[in-house]
Amino acid sequence: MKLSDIPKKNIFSTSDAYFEKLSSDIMKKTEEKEILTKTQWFRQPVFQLASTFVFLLFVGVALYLSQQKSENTISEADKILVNIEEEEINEYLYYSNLETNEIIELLVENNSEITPSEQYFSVEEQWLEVNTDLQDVELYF
Amino acid sequence: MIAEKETQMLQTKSIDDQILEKIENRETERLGFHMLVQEYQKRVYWHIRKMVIDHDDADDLTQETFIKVWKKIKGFKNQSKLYTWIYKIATNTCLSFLEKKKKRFLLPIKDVHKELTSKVNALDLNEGEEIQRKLQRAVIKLPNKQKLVFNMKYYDEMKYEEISEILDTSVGSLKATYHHAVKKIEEELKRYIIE
Repeated sequence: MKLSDIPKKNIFSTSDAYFEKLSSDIMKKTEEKEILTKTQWFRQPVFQLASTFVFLLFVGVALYLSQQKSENTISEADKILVNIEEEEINEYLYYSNLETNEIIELLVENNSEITPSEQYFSVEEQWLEVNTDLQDVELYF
Repeated sequence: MIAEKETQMLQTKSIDDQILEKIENRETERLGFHMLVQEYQKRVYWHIRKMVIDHDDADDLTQETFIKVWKKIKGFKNQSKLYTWIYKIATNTCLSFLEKKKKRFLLPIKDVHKELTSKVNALDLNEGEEIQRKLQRAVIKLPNKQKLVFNMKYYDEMKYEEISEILDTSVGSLKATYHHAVKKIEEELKRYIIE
C-alpha cells in the first residue's frame, strides 16, 4: 500500500471553543510572568547567583587586602630592623635577659646612685616586693 | 496555484512584520503578542499534538511554547521567518518533554510507543477513518526525528528549506529522512492489511 493512496486527514480533534480559551490562557500566563519578573526580580535565580558571586567577591577582596596589610606590616618591621646598628641589637640582647640583681650589680659597678625607688627601676613597688628580695638589695648600699 | 501560495506567503510576511512592529513598541507589545498567538496557536498546537497525541499534553506544551516565545521575542532577529522560529521552539519543547517522559518513568522506547498507540486506539473514529488510525500507529513507531520530518512535510506541507531551518539539518539529509520514514510507514501499513 502506498501513502499516496490514503487521503490526507487530521484524525485528532478539539472542541471549537478550545483555541479561544488557549489564547486567553496564554495571554494571562505571560502577563503573570511579566508581573512576577517585575516585582520579584530579586527572587530570580540569576539575581541570587549574582548576589552570591558579589558576596564571595567581597569576602575574597577583604581577605586579600587584610593579607596584603599584614605583609606590609612585616616588611615595615623588617625595614626598621635593617636600619638598626648591629651593636645596638647586641646591646639590647645583652641587657634584655638581665635579672634584677644583675641590673643592680651593673649599676654598682658603674657607681650610680641607687635608691630603691620607682625613679630608677620604673617598675611598680608591688612588683618589686614580690619579685626581689629587698634584704639583698639593702646589702649593696 | 503557485501564485496563490506566493500571495499567501506575502500576506504571512506582512502579518509577521505587523506583529514584530507592534512588539517592538512598549505600548503595543501586548497587542502584538496577542496577534502572534492568534496567528500561530493552531499550527503550533497541531504540530505538538501530532507528536504527543494526548490533548492535555499538547495543551500544556503549546502554552509553554508561547510563554518561551514571549520571553525571547525581544531577542528575535529577522534572520529567520517568525513562524520557523516559533516552530523551532515548539519542536524543542516537544522533544525535551518526550525525553523527560522516557527518563521519568524509566520506560524503554517501546513502552512509550505502546502508551501513544493506546491513545490513538482510544480515538473515536468513523469506520472509513480506520486507515487513518493505522497510519498514525505507523507514524508513532518512527524515531522522533523521522516523525518530526514526516509530520512537517506530509501534514504541514512545509518546504525542506524551512524544515532545515527548524531542525538545523541539511536539505539532503532531510530528503533522505523523509524517504526512509515513508518507506517504513508503507511497510507497516502493508503489515496491518495482511493481519
